[in-house]
Amino acid sequence: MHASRNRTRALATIVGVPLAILAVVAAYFFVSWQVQAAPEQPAPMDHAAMTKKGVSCLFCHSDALKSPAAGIPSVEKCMGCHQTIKTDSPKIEEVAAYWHRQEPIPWARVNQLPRFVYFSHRVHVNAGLNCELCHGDVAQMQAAEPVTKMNMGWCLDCHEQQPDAGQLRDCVICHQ
Amino acid sequence: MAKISRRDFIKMGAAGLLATVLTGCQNPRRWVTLEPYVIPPEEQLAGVATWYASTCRQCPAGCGIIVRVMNGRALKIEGNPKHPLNKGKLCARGQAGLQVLYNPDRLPGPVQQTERGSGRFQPISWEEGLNTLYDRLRQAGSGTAIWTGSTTSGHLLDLFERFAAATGAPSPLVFDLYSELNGLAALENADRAFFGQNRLPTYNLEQADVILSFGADFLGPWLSQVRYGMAFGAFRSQSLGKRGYLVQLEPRMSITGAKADWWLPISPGTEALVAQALARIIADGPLGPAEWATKANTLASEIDVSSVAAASGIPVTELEQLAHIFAAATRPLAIPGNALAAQDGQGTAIAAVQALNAIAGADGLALSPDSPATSLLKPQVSPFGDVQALIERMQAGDVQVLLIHGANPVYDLPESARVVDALAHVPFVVSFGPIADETGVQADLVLPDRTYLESWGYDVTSPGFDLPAVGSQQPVVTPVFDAHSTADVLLTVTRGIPTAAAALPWSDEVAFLKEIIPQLGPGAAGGLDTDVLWSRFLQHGGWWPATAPPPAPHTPVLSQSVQAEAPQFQGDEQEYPYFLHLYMSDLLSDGRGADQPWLQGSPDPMTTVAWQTWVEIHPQTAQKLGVKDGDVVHITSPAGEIEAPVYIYPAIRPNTIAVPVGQGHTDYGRYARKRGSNPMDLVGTTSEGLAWATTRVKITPTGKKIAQAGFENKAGVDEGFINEAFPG
Amino acid sequence: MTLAEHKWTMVVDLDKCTGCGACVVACHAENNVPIVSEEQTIQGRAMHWMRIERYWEGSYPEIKARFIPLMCQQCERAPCEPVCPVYATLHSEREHLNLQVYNRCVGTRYCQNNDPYKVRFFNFFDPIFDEPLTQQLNPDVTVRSAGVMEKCTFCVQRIRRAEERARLEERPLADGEVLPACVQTCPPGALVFGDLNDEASAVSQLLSGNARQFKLLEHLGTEPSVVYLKGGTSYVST
Repeated sequence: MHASRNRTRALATIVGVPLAILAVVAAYFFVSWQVQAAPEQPAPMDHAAMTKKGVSCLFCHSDALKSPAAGIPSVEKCMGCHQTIKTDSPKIEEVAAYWHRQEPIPWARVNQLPRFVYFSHRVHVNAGLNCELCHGDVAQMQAAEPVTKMNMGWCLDCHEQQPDAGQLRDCVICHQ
Repeated sequence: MAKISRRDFIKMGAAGLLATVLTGCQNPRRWVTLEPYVIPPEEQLAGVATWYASTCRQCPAGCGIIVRVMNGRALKIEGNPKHPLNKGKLCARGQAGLQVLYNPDRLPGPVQQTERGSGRFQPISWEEGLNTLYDRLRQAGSGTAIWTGSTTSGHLLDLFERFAAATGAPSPLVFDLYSELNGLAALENADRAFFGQNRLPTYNLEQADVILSFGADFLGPWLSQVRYGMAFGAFRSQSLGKRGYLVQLEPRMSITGAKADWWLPISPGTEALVAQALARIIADGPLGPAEWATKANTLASEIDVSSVAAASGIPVTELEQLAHIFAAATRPLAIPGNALAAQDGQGTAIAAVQALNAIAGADGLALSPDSPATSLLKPQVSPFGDVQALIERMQAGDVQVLLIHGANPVYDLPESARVVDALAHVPFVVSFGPIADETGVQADLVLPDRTYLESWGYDVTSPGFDLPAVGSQQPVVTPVFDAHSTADVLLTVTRGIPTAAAALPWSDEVAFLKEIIPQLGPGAAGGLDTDVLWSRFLQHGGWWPATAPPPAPHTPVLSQSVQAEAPQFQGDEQEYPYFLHLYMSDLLSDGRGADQPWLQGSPDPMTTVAWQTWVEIHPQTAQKLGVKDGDVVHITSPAGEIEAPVYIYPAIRPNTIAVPVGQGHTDYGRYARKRGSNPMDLVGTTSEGLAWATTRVKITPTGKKIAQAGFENKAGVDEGFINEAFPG
Repeated sequence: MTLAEHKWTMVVDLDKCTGCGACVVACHAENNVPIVSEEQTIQGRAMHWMRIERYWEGSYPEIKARFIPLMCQQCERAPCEPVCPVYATLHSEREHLNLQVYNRCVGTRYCQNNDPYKVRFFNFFDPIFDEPLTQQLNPDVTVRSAGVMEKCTFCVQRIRRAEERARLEERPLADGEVLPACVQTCPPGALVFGDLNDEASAVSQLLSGNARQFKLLEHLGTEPSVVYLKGGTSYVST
């Protein structure tokens, strides 16, 4: 009869189906392992241009020194300079439009840690780490983009190299 | 190669498509929006909280609070460490205040109702609401009545009083179930009679060495739970290792009774008799130091100790023992509890207990000293007679407009008080409640007030303790819903009423407060300029003097003995064999906490039950009735009937049953609605007040059973197994 | 700067605890602990990281009630730790606390099974916080989802924040600077919290030579970090 065809089909199923599932799972992990692309932003903020003009990270993200959160500058802060600087640029006009409407600019978050992780900017900034270490060479970025996956292994790589590594590898440091 | 069939091809295609789609799937929370401030508040750091001082309004005590606010959201309430009343501590209800602010059932804006009781509210604009109120008030003239509660802010009550005086309307009523069940009006009257001041009495627990508490649940929601809790801690750990001795006399063990060194289950209504018997024993002894003798002879009433023993259920030997303990103490203190305040002849009953203090020299009683704060208005609670008078006026059609703020009379008062009936004779009823409670549902217009965390105001601390204080209130967040402060509403609508406008000339409540508060002068926070005084008032959470004023003389003004009788109970002993003991739930208090899930879901301290009502019955009584835990019974009094599941409670008199107040709401939000029973339905009215402490009931099993939502496991308890886990 | 090792200890004075429940509600507010429905409470799934246990002693009329505030005992030799298959509950050598790492937990509930104090609570469902109650949630504390075990952490987020502040200000932590929510609110002052490694701390002073102290279920050898003080007796002349 069609015995040989049946056998082939059976073989194909026994091997093929698990292989297919494995492929899907592998693909899923491979993709989530990748660093995400830069998200779309509502206003075309150009970090490279700002840095070239001599604006330091802490000028806008001023809370990084004193707070666990680095903070996003308020619209008022943007307008503080841009009500006089480069007002003719269409990009600046988009920002100014938000100010005129008294609406916050809905920035898309670039670096997101999972919600069960506690990360404090002020501890790291006060320990002498500069922003580029984790956030990459922002001076070369137009739209801000993530440069590392920022997973636990990556954090621990640096923590392990510190003099008080014994304390810094304790789970309570980040998991609250 | 085998040929692939169409079916197989489709299967493979589908699998491939699925694989492609899945790999593209991202965690949707990956794309989060960050919205910065448009104009940030000054000196705000992202991720760092700011703390604002205010005053708690979950009960009339008025503890100072500080609220942790981050990014415009109120996250946590703590006690204000600077406030002289609570010094950084706070009770369960104070902690739950955030759920008053962020309650999901708050009215989003003003509403009107065409059919009272339907609950079908039509949203209207504030302009419309204010205009409607204005029209009605203008037409009503002196036919306005105002009903406020014991937590209504001092400044709002002040404005209401001025409005009433200007339009010829009667003074506002200050009455809610909390003040009734705490006996606040009776205690204030007693304070006036004994000490000549119109305030709630203060008891110096921390300095007493022996306390005889006649049913005063001072560790529960009575008078000032936080401060008395703190005082109790100090009472237990006095200097040189001394530990105070607490005797609690009550028919049902409250949480104060649980902490007592000696708990005496006296028969309901015999507190005053026992006090008189003790005074008699002291006078007859004579017991105590020599200076007691004269006072004891004058103040001890003629009473037969053995008949008191029979009536109260306390043997003569124990009464004598009590008297000896009281007389041998250095600084004894007797506290009259709320059950005394609920009897007919309450003044006399309270006096009987105060006589003991007078005999002992009353070192345990402290008066709230006079200070600039005395000039500010603190709601003096209205006695129930005033409530009845208002209800009669409403019934007679003398009230055109009724304004209700901070009170829920339709829930608070039993059917025997006929509030709903009286409301039907009032053409226009306005409620200012932020949530539609039972009274709001009977209103024609609801203009929701802002909750206390979004409000301005002041609160004169009462009872006051060593430092007289006025707590401040300020909004800690921008209003969550479209509510407006009732004080602002009043100031706005009265602008068009000439008589009222002259009496209320302020543009808004803050202008009013800024005029009043600096008159207190510089307190502990200092400052001379009006603006500085105002900002310090807000910043520190209130005003209080730098040092405690000298204490006023404090022996109660009792010149002769009183003769307190046992109270009359409602209901014939044969038909209604059990005494009803009502008490305020430690978490829900008088029912106002029922809309806060933290309070609903937390276990009751004595029974560990949450979310439900229960009736506490002595194990022997339960056996006689043939009921077990969870069996639903009818409880019937001469005034009404409720159903409740049984909780077998070993620390209650066999002929007494106890039911906590707080559940049984028909409205008031999703967490409160249609849950448990309201035992106030069992209470009748007498000439002097509500008979909540003088009602008898009967119990009938229904055969129904519910599962009890208790945290504890009661396996083995009723069988008397010894708890080996607890050493000592 | 080397970080000091803290032996966080809580002292519970049973003589002072009035059973008022302020600690219970404060904990819910601070740690985003959900309130479960009546039906779930009946099933025994109520989640109170801190609870007040009420025991009866004796029988009427010589009956007494005793309150025992009970929270995770942060055992030095915790029975819940070795049984977790995914290492979600572990011991912090730095803080001497029993940690619960929420994202690791797969919900076997073996830890709850092994815990003799029954202070661990499982999220049978995703907690529901009706809007706008979500505004109140504490951003310092993870909001747990279904399938995750949770328990008292001695308000580790407060400990960490205080340590961070102290580190930035280059000073050691002061006694009383770290207060878990329950300790902060307790009116009679029945709860005291501090570092037992610091001889001058309030807990050290309270416990040194104190004959009233005991630990719960001490015979099991769990070495709890919570010390209870027995109720006392007053001596009155009669």
